[in-house]
Amino acid sequence: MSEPLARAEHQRFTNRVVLITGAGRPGGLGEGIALAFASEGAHVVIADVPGASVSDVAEVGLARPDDLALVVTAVEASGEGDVISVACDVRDPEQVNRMVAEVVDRFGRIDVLVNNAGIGFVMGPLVDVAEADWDLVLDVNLKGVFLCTQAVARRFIEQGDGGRVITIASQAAKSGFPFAAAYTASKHGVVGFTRSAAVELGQHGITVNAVCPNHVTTGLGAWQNEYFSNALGMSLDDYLAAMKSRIPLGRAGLPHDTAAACLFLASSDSNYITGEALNVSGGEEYH
Amino acid sequence: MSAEPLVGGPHAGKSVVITGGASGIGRGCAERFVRDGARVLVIDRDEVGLAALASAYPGRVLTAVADVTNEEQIEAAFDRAVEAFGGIDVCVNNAGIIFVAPLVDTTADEWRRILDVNVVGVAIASRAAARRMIEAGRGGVIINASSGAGRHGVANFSQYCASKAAVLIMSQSFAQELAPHRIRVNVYTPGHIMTPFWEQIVGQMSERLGKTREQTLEAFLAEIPWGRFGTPEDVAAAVSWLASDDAEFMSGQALAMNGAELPW
Repeated sequence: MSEPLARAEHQRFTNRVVLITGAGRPGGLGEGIALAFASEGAHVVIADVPGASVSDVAEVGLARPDDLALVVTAVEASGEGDVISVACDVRDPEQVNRMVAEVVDRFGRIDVLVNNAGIGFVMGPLVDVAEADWDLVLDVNLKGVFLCTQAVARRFIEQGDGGRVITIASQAAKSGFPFAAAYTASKHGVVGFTRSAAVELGQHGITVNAVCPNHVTTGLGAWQNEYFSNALGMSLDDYLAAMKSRIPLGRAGLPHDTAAACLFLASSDSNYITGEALNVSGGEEYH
Repeated sequence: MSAEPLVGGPHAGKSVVITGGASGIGRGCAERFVRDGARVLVIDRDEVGLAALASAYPGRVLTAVADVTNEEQIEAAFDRAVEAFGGIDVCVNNAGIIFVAPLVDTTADEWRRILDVNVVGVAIASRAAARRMIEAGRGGVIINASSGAGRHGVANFSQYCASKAAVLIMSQSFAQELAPHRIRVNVYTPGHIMTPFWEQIVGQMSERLGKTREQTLEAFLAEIPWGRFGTPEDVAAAVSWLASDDAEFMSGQALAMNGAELPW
């Protein structure tokens, strides 16, 4: 957790400015993406929700303030670029606009937005889901992606030389899962949003894509395993064995797997790819 | 594109077999893998195109004249790759054919021909690659050519669409079967890519609709939000990535390069 990466041989992102939301948690997917961009020379902005210091949510994936500092240190040590952190609740348009202004203030521009912030620990049987919980999940996972993409796209258009938007969706953007109706709806929504945005923003040279990981071995991933094995009345071992048996490549995903896909989608190698929702799931998800 | 391989490139030391690589997307893939540091054996029926490619990349590209529907020729070509390179790490099955064919005018022979090349040909070469990869015991990557037209139907191309949809689903089966051997199988689904193959379609469409080449191109271009046709390099870049270790957790997937063209 929060171990710096070695500097990559090929520095594809030197002087590029990459903004990653929800990246303040050590061992999380956002941190993995930040480390990978840094190791290839990028300036990285680590954004996360401010004041998430409540101890009982820390274990399910929200960053605490001291966590953020750990991530920044590890990302700094992974490359030559500069690293800053910005507090931002992606549900709030004012905070989102302020975040974009801060990045532009510091670096003069933005090249890549990674919409990684998401909420994956509000689960429950459909018949019991409280309206407030439904709203919370949709607000963070879908409205947050909309607000960040809109604010950064405006900046991209102003800059006039294109840009890349990459959103971390999920296997739940392609298939349904029990006890996760709001989450699944939000992630399906993210893919629809990605397609519309790609069609609209293509004329400005902006690509918009999504990455759909299956289960990933993060802190949140461990919490989800615990939750789903309980909810399904299985032992954790049986649950993990069943999960593994569904994955042709025979292992759970790692943050690096998703990060490598993000770097590809931000690189010139993917110049003609937009509106895609790329499965990074060891062959578990197809469509 | 420079013929000089990238030192320490993502595919340095790897060996790659590409079918249908004498022109278009296949040739783009061959050039890209050479630049990425690999040694490449290109299979095609087009002897002249193969000779041009080999002379452009002396010592980096081997060629074999073979038809993907001919099992003996394909087996021999793959043997040659193993002999020359010591194994096969990546196989790109790009060979395919296309023609404009309204349903009411099609013949059963046309159907059999396109399925033979585009589906059975991919299976024959995938099998040749998989057998040798399994025997070598160090995994591998197979990447098959599907198409945007394998994800949705297109008027007057029912035979081609059927063949490319078959490649997509067949490759998912291969992916599951071969995963225990650490062989990944994925497909690429290009949109409109500027190649000799594509020029052939534009010519046939123009003739059928009584339009000029420019009018036909304009109509196609209007459907692409990105505002340009794709290039073989666009496809090759994504194929190179699918073959790399960065895509190590991806198998059974279809990757599109189409400039946001609808529908998906």
